[in-house]
Amino acid sequence: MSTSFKSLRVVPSRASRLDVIKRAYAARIVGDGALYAAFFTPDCRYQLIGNAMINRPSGLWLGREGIIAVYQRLAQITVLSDLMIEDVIQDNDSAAVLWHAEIRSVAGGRISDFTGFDHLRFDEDLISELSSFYDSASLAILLNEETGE
Amino acid sequence: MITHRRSEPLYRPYLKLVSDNSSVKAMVSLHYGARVDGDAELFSRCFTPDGALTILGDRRMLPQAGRHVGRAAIRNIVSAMASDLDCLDAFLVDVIAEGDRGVVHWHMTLRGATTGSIADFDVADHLILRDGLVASATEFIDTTSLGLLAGRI
Repeated sequence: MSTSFKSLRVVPSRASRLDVIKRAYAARIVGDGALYAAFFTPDCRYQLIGNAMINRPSGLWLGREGIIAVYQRLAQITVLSDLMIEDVIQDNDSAAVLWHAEIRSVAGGRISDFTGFDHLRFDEDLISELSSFYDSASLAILLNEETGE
Repeated sequence: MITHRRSEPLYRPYLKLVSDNSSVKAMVSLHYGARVDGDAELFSRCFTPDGALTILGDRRMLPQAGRHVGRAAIRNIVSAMASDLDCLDAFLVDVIAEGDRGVVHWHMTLRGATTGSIADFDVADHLILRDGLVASATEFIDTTSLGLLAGRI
């Protein structure tokens, strides 16, 4: 008697997704955009809330290449000097990550504290969508006061 | 032989929910309905008496930013926001709830009362519930675009 499996699907557990979140955010703080992007699906949607006229990297970015590009741009103007995950809430295929970060302006060196929230949607164990919320006006003030823009 | 009387069932019907998000989601529909309708009184009554609404932002761009504690303070700040910004449309994008914590991602179309400009916003609120009411709400919104809409930038 032989038994063949066409496929074996394992429903992702909360623990496995929490592990993805922890590892993805660890990649984010070390500034490894390629590693960070690897935790996303190839056709992911990545949205940084903000006004693109003033918060230049904000907007909708598509695919892993989009994530790498946005992190390259962010690295030119900011340094994430500290990042703490304060809370993770999971519900079906969605997750909310509450975070606190110290962001330093590359141009002026000034540091500000930010509290933010990321809304994630998962496809299996990869992130298919992420929308990042933060105080966009305070980031604009941090970055533009010193450059005079 | 095991016997039992009809009035004493062998088992008690018992339904345990694996994840009981219903209280958060019921609160969210009431809470956001009141907010969108501009009903500051009903919105404030969704909070515990010592509940807090924190609107993240820089007061230069958003005068209503900060932590507002108690129903009266919450009612006043929501009224002040409603007089600055008309909510033309709103819908819930997602509600993520786990135990007594939840996050609401919603989308709204606002019109600045002074500029007349219209813009779409994604908003996220982090809620902590106590006894079926909101003990803490922290609101994340694109404060740059809000400043532009209100004519402060």
